Amino acid sequence: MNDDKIVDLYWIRSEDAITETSIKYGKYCYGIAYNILADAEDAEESVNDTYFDAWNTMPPHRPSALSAFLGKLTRRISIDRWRKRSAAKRGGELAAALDELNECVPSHENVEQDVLAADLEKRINTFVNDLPTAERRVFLCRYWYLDSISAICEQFGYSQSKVKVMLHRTRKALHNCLVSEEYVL
Amino acid sequence: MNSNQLIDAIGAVNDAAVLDAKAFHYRGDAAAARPQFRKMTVGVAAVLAVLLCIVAVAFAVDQEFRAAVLSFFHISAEDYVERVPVEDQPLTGDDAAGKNITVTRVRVPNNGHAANGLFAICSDEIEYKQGSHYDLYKQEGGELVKLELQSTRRDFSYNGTAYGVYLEWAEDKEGRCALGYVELPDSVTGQYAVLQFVPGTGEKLLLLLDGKYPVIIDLYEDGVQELIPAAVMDELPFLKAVHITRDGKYLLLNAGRYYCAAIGTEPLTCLDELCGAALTGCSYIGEGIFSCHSLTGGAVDEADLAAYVRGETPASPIDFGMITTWNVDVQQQAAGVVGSTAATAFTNPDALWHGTERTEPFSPGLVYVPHDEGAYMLEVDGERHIYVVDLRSGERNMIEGALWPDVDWPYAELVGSPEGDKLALIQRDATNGSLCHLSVIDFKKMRLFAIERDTKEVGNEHYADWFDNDTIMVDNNVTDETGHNTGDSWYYLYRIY
Repeated sequence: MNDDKIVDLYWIRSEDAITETSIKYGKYCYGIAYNILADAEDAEESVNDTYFDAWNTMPPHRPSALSAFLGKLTRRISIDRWRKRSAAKRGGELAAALDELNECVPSHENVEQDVLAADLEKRINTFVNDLPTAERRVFLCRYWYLDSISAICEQFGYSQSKVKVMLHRTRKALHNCLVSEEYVL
Repeated sequence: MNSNQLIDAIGAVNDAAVLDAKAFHYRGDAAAARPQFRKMTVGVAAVLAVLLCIVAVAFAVDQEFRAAVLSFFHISAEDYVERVPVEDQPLTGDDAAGKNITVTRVRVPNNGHAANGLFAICSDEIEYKQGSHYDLYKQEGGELVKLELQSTRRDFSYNGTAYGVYLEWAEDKEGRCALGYVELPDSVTGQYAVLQFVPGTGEKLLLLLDGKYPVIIDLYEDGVQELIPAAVMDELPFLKAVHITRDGKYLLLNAGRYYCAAIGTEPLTCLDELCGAALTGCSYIGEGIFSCHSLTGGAVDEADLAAYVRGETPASPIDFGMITTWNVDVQQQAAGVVGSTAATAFTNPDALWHGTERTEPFSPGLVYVPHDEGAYMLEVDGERHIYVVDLRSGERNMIEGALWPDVDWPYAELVGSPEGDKLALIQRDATNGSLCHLSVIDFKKMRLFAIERDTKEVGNEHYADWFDNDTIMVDNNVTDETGHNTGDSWYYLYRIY
């Protein structure tokens, strides 16, 4: 079933909407959730919560890209679930990604005040759009989809070493971008 | 600002970029070399051989002809061929005379990369950005030689769905083959589309349909071969990885738990169940035997580990746990324990992600466990002696006269060769990410080859990887301040023999 028809099912409040979403995007959402949570049961629950959120959001929302919409819901729900878990149970790719992203965080000497979330989103979006194509794809696979390095290597046919170098440089560029004069509030 | 805010902000990146990252962009693929000759009409092959000889002779003797050909490929004649004499390369370690290592360097345009012993080069900048058509080359003595691309379209139906796949590929005389272009239907590219030549066959390609159904298509004949019944695959959770063993006989799946199956004959075997443990990895030893391993114990405290990687003394000593290995005979459906060894920060996944600042030496124990392919593990003791464990027999032998290099482990990685009988130890510089240390351990010869390069001092060497099972390659190019290539790359190929 195409995406428009699935969205129509949500709008007419048909429960088939959930079934069709599950058939078409169930594994996709589960993959995102599992990357973050590294736990089958938690990932399954996050996917179910995604369907619930989608049901509550459509209508009034009519997403232009259903897969991206569902992916964003799953990502946010899974990250929230990860944060609520005990420290002992944390792990998975999110823990690694957060650790890596620490390199990008400007020191307080360089930034007068923390930026507002909306400003930060805008800056990140601009930064990502300005990246060369290959670097942008690898960066998003790592920090949006929370893919493991080895999964990224498989997807793009790159070596681990190459992916790590690309990410290292992109993080460095992001750090420079965040501390540069034009981005300081 | 903190990394949590950053990860949330990245979540709001525009939909187009998010979808583009997961769309299928073919960027050249590697596939295992095969021993057999591929199907080809003898008459056509003979005619091609004669033509190639004529072209090759003309290429060699006629500068004008040579320049014209190279110009066509956007490569200038002057800088196209350059071989570095072995005697000019300072190779140290136990091979100071360079007797066991040869080095060749090949100039590769910016829009190119190595792919399983071949080079994939895209001559069109727009097509390159779109991840489109690649021409394929082999290298001979430092020269790039273009291979003839072949193409096919395969239409088939599987599990009630119709698929159409278009492929371009090439193969050299030694059986190295790679794909130059792939067009897949959306349903295949939605999640995870493994494309791997089946080792030992050449004309067969592994494909993962709808992210979960592994099948083999033949590049020369119609039809599709189901590897695991669709109903069985539907029962498995999210599929993380699929691999065909180097002998082309078995399929290894990672779906949270590890599974294997003999292609075309046996049902799916759950390796976790046979070993009675939650496995953390598997590799194929050969002859139907899989080496499986599991990490137990060593539940590291986050605060302790964070202190450890900062070089501080943790509140309690770090226990990285133990790694137990089993050998599983798939035909006999039997598993036997090989042994247990202390894990290290190299082999405990929970420790790895913390390692961004640590500069102290690692703790002794297992530093390398093979994945997918390989019959050898590597251990290091407190005095840096290196031990190779043969997983077939469990034998543990020291590499005479070699000590574990003094590397900073957060910036080091261990990369097994495609057949798993060699291991590259690669370390990048902590500040600029450029390649510094490079050595290779040959498990069969029980030797450590340290590869010293004058070229590393310049800081233009960025990454290393296996070019083929005997050759480690180093990518050398000039980058701007943002780390992007400003021109062509030199690939240094160090062949260990």
